[in-house]
Amino acid sequence: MLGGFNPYQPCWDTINDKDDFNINSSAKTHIINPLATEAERSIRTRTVTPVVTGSSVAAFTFKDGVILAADILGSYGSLAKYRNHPRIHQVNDKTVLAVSGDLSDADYIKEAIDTKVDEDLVQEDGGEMTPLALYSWCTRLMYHRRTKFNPLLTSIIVAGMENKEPFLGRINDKGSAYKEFLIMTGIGNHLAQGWIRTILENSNKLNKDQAEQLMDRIIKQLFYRDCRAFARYRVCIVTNDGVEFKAKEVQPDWSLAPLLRNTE
Amino acid sequence: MVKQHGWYPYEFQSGTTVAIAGDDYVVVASDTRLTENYSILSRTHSNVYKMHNNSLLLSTGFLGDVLTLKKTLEGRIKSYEYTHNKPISTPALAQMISIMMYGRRFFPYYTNTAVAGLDSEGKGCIFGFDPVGSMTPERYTCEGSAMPLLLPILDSYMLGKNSTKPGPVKRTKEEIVKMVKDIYMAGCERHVELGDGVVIHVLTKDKGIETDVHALRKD
Repeated sequence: MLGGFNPYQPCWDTINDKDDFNINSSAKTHIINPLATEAERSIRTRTVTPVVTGSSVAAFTFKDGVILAADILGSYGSLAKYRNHPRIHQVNDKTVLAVSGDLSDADYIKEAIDTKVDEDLVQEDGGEMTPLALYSWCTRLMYHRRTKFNPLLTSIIVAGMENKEPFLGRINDKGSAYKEFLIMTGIGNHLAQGWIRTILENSNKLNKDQAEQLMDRIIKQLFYRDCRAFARYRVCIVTNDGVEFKAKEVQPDWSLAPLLRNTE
Repeated sequence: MVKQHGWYPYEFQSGTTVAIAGDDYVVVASDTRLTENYSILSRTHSNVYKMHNNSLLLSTGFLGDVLTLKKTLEGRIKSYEYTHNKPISTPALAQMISIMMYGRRFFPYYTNTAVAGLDSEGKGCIFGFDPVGSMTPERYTCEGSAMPLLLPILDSYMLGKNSTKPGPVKRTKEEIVKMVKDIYMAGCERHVELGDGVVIHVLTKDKGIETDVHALRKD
C-alpha cells in the first residue's frame, strides 16, 4: 500500500514516555516497547474532548456553485494560539473539504483523503473523487470511529460540483450526515443560520458576487458575537470552472458599541 | 482503570413516519424536517428510503445508525439478487433486517424502523421493528418523535379502537392519503419537531411508487 499509511489502523505502538525521555535505557540498546495492555492503550490514545479547535464554518450553494468560509484560527481552549491555520482544504478540481472542531483529528482526515487521492492518481485512468463519493466515505469513517468509541471530534463539510451541480453536505463526529443548501457548523448554526436561511429561501438563486457579499456579512456577524472567532478568514468558491480561494479580513464597524450599555 | 466518557455515541434526530397497508397498496409517509437539539438542519430531509426491491424502508432515530443500516441493507439486497436471481421479497427483507439488528444487540442500531411493500399476492404488508430487531407484521405503523400524537388517531381511524364506533373500516387509497395529510397537519400544531412538509409515497403493483409532497407549517 502506498506509503504504508493506513487510516483504519491507529499508530499507537510507539507511544511510550519511557522511550521519549530515554529513561533507563542507553542509546545503543534503545528499543521501543509496544504498550502492554489494551486498557492502557485505550486510555492514553483516545480523545473524547477536543484540544485545539476551529470555530464555525459557513457554507451555502448559489446559482453556479458552492461558497464556503472559515476563519484561520486554531484555538487552544480560549487562547487564540494558531492564527494561520486554514480550515478549508482542496481535494481536487471539483471537491473541497472544510473542518471545524478538533483540528488534529481534522489533519488526520485530510492526510487520509490526500492518500486516497494519490492512490487514484497512480491508477492514471482519469478517475477522480467526486464530492458525493467523498461525503459517503467520510460518513463511513466517522461512523466507524464512533463505533470503536474513539471518535474524530470534528464536523466535516464536503462541498463541490457533483455532475456539474452544486453539492454540499455535513458529517458530524457520530456519523450523522445530511445534504442541504445551507450548512453551518459550530456556533454559527445558532448565530447565523436562521436569518441566512430566510434570505436564501426567499431569494432567487444568488450569483457569485452576491454570494460573496452575503458570506462576508455572515463572517462579520460571527466575528461580532463568537468569542472564538478571528478577523482573518478564507473564502472558497467552487464552480464548474474550478476552485478559488480568497484571503480576507473582517472590517468590523464598532460605532455601534456606545449604544450597547454593557460595553461602556 | 475504566475511563469515564464525556462523549456519548448516540444522538437523536427528529422524524416521524407513518405507514398504512391496504389490500393492494401501501401508503408510506414521513415528515421532512431534520433537527438536532432544537436547531433545524434541513427542511427537505425525508425518512423514507426506497430500496432496490421495490419496498420502502422507514427509519428514524439516530441518523448515523439509520444511514449505516440503509447502506448495509442496500448491499445485502443486491447480494441476494445476484445469488438468488430474483429481487428479495418484503417479508424476506424484514426477516433479514431483524437478524441484522439483533446482531448488534449489545450496541444497537438506535433506530425505529419499519419496512413496507407488497407481498407475493400483491397485498400491502408492513413489518415494524424495535431497536434490537423484534419484528411484528402490522396493518399500520407510526414511529418517531411525534408518534404519541399521531398513533392514537391512526388506531381510531383504521381499526375504530377507543371510539364510539368500534371495528375496522375499509378505506380507499385516496382517503388514506387525505387522512395522512390531516394527521400530520394536526401533529405540527403541538409538536416542535414536526413541520416543513410531509412526503407521501403510494406503492401499488401497477404504478410502482407515486410520490407527493404536502407542505406543512415551518415554525
